[in-house]
Amino acid sequence: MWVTLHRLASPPTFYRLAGKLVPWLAAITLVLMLWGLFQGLAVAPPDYQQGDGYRIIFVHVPSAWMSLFVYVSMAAAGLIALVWRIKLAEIFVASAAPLGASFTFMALVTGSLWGKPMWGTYWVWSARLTSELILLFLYLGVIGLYNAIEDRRSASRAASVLALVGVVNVPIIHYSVVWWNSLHQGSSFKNFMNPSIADAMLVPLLVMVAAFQIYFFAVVLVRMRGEILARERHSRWVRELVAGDSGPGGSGRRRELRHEPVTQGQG
Amino acid sequence: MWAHSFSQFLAMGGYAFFVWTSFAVALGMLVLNSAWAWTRLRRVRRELKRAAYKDKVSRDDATT
Repeated sequence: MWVTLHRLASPPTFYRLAGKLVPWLAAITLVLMLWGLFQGLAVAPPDYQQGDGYRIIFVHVPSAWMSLFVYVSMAAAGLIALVWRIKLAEIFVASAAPLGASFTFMALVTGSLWGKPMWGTYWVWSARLTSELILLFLYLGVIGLYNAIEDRRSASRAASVLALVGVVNVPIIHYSVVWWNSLHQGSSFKNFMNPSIADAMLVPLLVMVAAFQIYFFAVVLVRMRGEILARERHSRWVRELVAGDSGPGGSGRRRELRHEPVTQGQG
Repeated sequence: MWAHSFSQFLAMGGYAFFVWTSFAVALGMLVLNSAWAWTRLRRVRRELKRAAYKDKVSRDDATT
């Protein structure tokens, strides 16, 4: 198993594998999202209190969930990058941060748009909203720090440290509606056996969460491929890959799929 | 289907602005993110190809 993991952590192997996975993940995302949107917008019945305004839940909850999930995965990858110096973990932190920031931004905007008709205001400085806003600043901090340092490895280490430190904000966001009184409603599914939401609404919601999750994996893999190429530009396997791309009549893609890893590229 | 007509569906029970703006923002961000990722990957590939071509040309020049 360690040999397999070690091979997967090699940039050339990962680059090749990610290239194969992305089209499948994109297709699954598209199918799930179309089905979830259709069910959520057209089939699920209106809420007995919020009418059709509650339908914002089908984009708000998945983006809020992803904002937390991406940050926790970034922190985990940051820990791996700092302890074991795995290059792919560093690349993951750098590639996931902009996606996490956009999920957080999406959660804040859709939450505001949901808040106006339900609470009468776009924004309140409640614990949930404020801690989510802090999460956005943490993401921006990670992105800014990574781009401010020229040496990629030092930049990755600094970004990983910030990702690790900021993870303390995640349980605060999650439990803020329990710990403090707030306009924000409690969690819609505290446990899967007894959800406080009807099945007709819960199923499309879970499908949308799955769609956002797979979307994230697809896009982060594309971003990681770009980052790998940029970082490994002087390594032999990238030179061979580029030579295959620009060769007369030779398809770079075919070369890329046949390519066997030449160098570990670590360190 | 809860809506009896397309106009009722679009009206979203009086919450049309909030619901449709939310979905537009979310889907817009998803599309932008994927486009950004693909553009960056293609740009890096193009830059690498250009650099490899320049290398090849300068090597050819040096030999001739």
